[in-house]
Amino acid sequence: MTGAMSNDSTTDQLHLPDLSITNFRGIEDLTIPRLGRVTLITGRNGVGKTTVLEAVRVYAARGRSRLLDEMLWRCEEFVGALDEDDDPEIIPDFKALFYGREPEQGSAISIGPRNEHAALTIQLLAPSVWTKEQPELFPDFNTDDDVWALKIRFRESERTLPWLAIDEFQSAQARRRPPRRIWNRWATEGWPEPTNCQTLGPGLMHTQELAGLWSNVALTEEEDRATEALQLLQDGIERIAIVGSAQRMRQSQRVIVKFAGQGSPVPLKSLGDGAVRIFGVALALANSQNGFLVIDEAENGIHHTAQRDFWRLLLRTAQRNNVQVLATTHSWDCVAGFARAACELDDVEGVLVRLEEDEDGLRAVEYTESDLAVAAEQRIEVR
Amino acid sequence: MIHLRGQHQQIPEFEITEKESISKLADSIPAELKVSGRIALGIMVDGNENPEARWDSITGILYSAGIDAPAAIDAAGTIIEGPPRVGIWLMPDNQSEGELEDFVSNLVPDEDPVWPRAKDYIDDIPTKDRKFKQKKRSRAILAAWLATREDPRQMGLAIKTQDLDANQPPALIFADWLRRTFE
Repeated sequence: MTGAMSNDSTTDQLHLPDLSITNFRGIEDLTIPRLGRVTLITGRNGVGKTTVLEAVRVYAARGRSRLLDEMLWRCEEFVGALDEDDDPEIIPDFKALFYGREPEQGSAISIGPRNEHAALTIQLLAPSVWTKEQPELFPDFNTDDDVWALKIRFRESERTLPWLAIDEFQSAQARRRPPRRIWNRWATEGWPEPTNCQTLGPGLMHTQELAGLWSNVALTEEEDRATEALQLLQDGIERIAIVGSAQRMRQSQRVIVKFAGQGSPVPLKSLGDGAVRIFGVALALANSQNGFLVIDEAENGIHHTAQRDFWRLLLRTAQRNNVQVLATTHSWDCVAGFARAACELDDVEGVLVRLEEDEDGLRAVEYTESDLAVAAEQRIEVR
Repeated sequence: MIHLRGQHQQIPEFEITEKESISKLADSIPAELKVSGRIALGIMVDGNENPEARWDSITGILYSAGIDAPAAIDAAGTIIEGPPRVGIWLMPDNQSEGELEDFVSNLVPDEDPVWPRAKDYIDDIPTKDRKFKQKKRSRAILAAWLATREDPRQMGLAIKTQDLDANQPPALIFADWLRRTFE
């Protein structure tokens, strides 16, 4: 077992040794004082577990608007607007990124390590503030409109992105945004490189997604690791392949598995959801080298008896591939399996964090590996 | 404790977890303190031969969990405000050497006719025929006395049937500690 303080050498290599989130989505203010190589987050429904994962994604992407767009679309946060030719269109509602959804001039989202200089900030600037700063930026864009802007800062880099013309009391027609192509180029050119961040949602990965991840690791050592992961679940698996055409007949693409001593392979899906899930996790780990992997509802699809093996695989691979993993769960079996695996593996640091909301706001209760060992053994509730 | 609560209505509800051994109890304190929604944690242990050493080890663990305990044991039971609030009680009375059984022995009414007999019965057994060590003497006497109850052997039940007096001063002090811990 590794003590909390004796592991600094590993912690130093983590992208995020700790995490502070301010004003982002449903989280007004949260500090998690210590993250591990693998951090498992528990807490009641709606307390903000998934938001922590989203924050890590935004941080890893260095606030790239493409990810912000995708997140907002996914939760149907959009508003009507006019494009540069005055045609109506639907655009993501960036206001929904801010806590309370009603940001004002100066409101700022901050995500990153507690050392605030390393944090990513997204600040809202009122028309009067920013247009004076950068009037030459979009010559064709009518800045007479009330154009708000997002000022994104990461370490030494800083950029102001005109957002859209918006007036609370006018119709959607009053919302106007700068030409998208220019905007996207301005948002990403010369901007700090993102950190690789793979994401696994609560559901199962589609075959196309699996195929995409597989093709990155085919015929490498990582392919063997993915096969080993499946072998955890079921003895006798020899080889895995993805077959079928992705272009012509989408539906024909599938993952197949060959068992020792059996003539023809069987579809991975015939082995059950657990097999698809664990294969997806293994591929995501193989694809997130030196980056992040975030997993929402990590227990999904994994039988309670396989939880320890699952976490053992995850902890080991995360360490070897230098991946920092953050995952959420509701399940006691998942926590217990995580605790046992983390305590077993001396050189990999696992941390459990429970998010708790009380009258003072949201806070993180952190469990060290020794706390976890006792809690698992004595069945003390940690969720 | 449950039966004691039955006699003292002002003690709020609480859950009891038996930790089997002092080392299991000690190990579990940090995790027990962190249980979601925990308002209070009462720690009850036997003082045994060295109550002060026991006190030091419990408060040492609390200290490393960020909870400062007073330097000395409070005879009326220690309370450290939280959250979570932590109550500490060393059996039998936060001062003397001994254990739960000594506390319970003190609740036997003064005029109980069987108690002197139980005492004599145990003490009259020649040393060579005793299988218990001297430090378990009070436990043996209590067991002998409990053996003569309507439903022999059950300690708590003797409170319910009022063979034990829940209004003896030691019981009142203990009940008050429970109330202050869990209110």
